[in-house]
Amino acid sequence: MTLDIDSPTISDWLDGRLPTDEADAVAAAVRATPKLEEAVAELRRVKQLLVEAGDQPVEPSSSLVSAVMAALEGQPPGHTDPFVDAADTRPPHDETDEQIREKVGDEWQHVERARVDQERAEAIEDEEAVREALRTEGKSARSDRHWLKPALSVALAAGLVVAVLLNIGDQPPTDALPELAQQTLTADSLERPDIDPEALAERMIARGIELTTGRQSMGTLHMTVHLGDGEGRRQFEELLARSRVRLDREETMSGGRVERIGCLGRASEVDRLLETLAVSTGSVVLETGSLSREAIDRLERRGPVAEPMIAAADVEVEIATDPQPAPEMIAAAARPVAPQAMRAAAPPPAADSGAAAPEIAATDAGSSLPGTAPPEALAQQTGALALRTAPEAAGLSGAAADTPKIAANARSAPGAGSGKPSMAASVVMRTTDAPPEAVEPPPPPPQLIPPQGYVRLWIDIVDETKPAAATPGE
Amino acid sequence: MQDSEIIERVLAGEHAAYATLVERHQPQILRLLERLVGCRETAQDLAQEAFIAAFRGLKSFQQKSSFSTWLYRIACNKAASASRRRRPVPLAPTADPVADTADVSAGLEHADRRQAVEQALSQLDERYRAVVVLADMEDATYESIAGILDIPVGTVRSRLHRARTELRERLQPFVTAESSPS
Repeated sequence: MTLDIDSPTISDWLDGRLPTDEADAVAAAVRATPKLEEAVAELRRVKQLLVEAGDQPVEPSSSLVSAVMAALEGQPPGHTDPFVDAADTRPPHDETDEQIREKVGDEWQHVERARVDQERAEAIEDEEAVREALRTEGKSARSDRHWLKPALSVALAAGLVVAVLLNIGDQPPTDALPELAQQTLTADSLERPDIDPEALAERMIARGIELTTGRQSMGTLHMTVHLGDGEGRRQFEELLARSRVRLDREETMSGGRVERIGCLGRASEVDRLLETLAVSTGSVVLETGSLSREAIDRLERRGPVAEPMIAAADVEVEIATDPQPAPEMIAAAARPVAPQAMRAAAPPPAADSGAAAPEIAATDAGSSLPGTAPPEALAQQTGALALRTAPEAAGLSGAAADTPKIAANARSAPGAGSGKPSMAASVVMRTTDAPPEAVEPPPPPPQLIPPQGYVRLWIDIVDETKPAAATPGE
Repeated sequence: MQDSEIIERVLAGEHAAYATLVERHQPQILRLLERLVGCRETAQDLAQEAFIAAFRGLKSFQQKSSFSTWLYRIACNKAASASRRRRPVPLAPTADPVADTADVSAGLEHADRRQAVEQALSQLDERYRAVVVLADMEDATYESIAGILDIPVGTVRSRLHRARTELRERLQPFVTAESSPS
């Protein structure tokens, strides 16, 4: 048996929950690895500390009973709750709680998997229908999604204020970002004290239903990871496994060269995954940010930004761990320090764009930015979003790009407000293999994604060892 | 008198009987909330809110689980909401009863450990904190935690382990072999 300290089996073992044969196997595996044995001993001490702290008596409150009864004076207890009457389908009362939980525990995995599969199939089917409707009629995405109805019913019955965000698009990252259909429902109040609105939303999201409370936000990020060899894949999969985002969708494209996976996670967890990817890929970090015209329009309409408001859906991210960088990147990589090594490339703005062309557009793609160019400076000069890079890897010591500033930059993107479609500019940052000349403590990574809410993250994994599929015209 | 009988009387209009339920369950609820939010005053406020919420929702309680499990769930929700509203404040160090009877330095060490545990708990994500408090401080089984928090047993397992591994990092000075609690 191979175990590591992150395996929950260790806690099962510490809590005496394993059958004898399995417990013996775990004990042997722990004994066989001194480092693991030490870590397990520390976990055991953690448990001991907690038990010890839990043994401290807590004085009962002398005033609690009277305070509660005074607050309740004249109030009748509860009322009929249609949510409970309609939705509580737990087994009848002839089984004990213990028996019920044991049964639920045993059947959980199987039932949950089957249900999620069914919901996913329905969602995919419905997304196709919605997309078709959008193409032909240009209507919004208030569809007859089968899974949406129960979700909304639950939300209504629970009296929640909810926003349901539907990620319609499965387009490749180079296309316009998917529109999000948003519907907000308002009801009186939550009548079930034992249901936490955010926990309910979390459970729905965990089941593939993108239901959020009004306090949460949901966005979509696209990311591309180029894998040069098997080791790259191994490292990438390890990073994903360690992260707390939940992988729930998978498909293969381009003749098996591109694998697309869909993940859901809290924004902070997705942000941490992106940061880990940026840092761990070290010298070959490549981040590209671009704004779709729709995103720019949305930002224009939104006006001044008082707090982080750039939805993750406004941004496309590309992180490449490409062992064979593009030619214009090779020159950059040869330079010693990050600011000089950062390169910016922006496609020229549309000829009929009324907006001023970004400064960088006047230069050749691939030319260096002068002097120190922290992310926000790059953004200002290119009119694009500056995305977080790995500060220590890039040798960046300057100020981090804060989100309001990024939002302001985004509004000056080429084509913004012109009313005509235009390609958004892009920023490419690249670091070098050479160590930075002066290493200063890295600044805290700027957060592009709001710290709250959930993010749907699409990752296209490009296997560079496989030949690219021929495109028409080639 | 059983909880269920009291609940029937309350629902039948004898509201004063609810005081018995509050009296009976307040020590456990207060203790749980104090562990979860790390502050005595906040715990008292939340306990009051929890008992009031339970009273108001009493008709929706179908007694398929015990009243205490249901109450624990309400209390955990209250703690989670409070945790989202504000960061928990670690308990101020208090005189340790051990100090009265044993070696003063041992008592101080004990108090240090307890304070470190409370602080480390307060820094945990509330989802993990609830599970580890229920499991290791309230001695609840995985199954009852699953019932209280309304999550699958598998989730209890993984959250509990993650909580312990995070606490192991935060409590490093207290868990290494040299400083093992006696």
